[in-house]
Amino acid sequence: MAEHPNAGLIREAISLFNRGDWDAYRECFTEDVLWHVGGDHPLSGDYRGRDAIFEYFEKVRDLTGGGLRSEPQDILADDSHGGVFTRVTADRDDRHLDVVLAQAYRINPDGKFTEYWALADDQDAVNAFWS
Amino acid sequence: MTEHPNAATARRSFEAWNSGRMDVIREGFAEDAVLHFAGNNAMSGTYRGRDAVMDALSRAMQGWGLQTEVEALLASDDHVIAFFHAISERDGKTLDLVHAMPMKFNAERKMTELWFLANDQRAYDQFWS
Repeated sequence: MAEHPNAGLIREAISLFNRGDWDAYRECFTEDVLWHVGGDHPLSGDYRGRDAIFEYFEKVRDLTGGGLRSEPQDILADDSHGGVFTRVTADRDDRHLDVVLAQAYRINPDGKFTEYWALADDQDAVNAFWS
Repeated sequence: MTEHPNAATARRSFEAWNSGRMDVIREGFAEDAVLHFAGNNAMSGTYRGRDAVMDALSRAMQGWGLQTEVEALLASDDHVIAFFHAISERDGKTLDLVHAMPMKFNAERKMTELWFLANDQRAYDQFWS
């Protein structure tokens, strides 16, 4: 079965993130995107608007020396939603992160992300890494 | 297109939730199922094993008394991601929070792990506190 276009979109977005191509990555989102980061750590919370989420990405990049990587394991999609189970690895000083993150997206007809949820299966490990 | 069996299991579980059929929900879980209850509130935490998961869900149902409305179910052989509205009324106010819920499935098509996140975590925590 051919990959759904929205699955392709998510695959491409993750690739842009991994390459640090922020200008192109920015184009994946609507201006008023809503972003929900789970957990109980300094980066958790709700972010409103593309500018706010790119500030968040910059924090992530600064804290990990640009070394955070996302390897998609399973990408799911329909015409207005997408999701991915992705292995996220990062290092921060002597801390190492290796978790499966489930990301869920609402996607508009133009193929832009309008809303996003990030949920780690091992939330305690994520909390410890960012705290 | 026929619905993926894992999506069908998820859909049946939501319908069972709305009609209070905990026995039907239980059938969908593997023995060693794990539930991560999100947020920073009285329900938050990780529940391991089908009995602990069902106990947590029963408490949630009593506290919540809510209805769920499935917006989308995305499925593969290993996973489902559900987008759903959880709608509840309390003190004359209606709370409608959209949740994303990833689920892992085993080869027997039973749910082994699930967790979720609301789209307004502050409202969510206030509700459960």
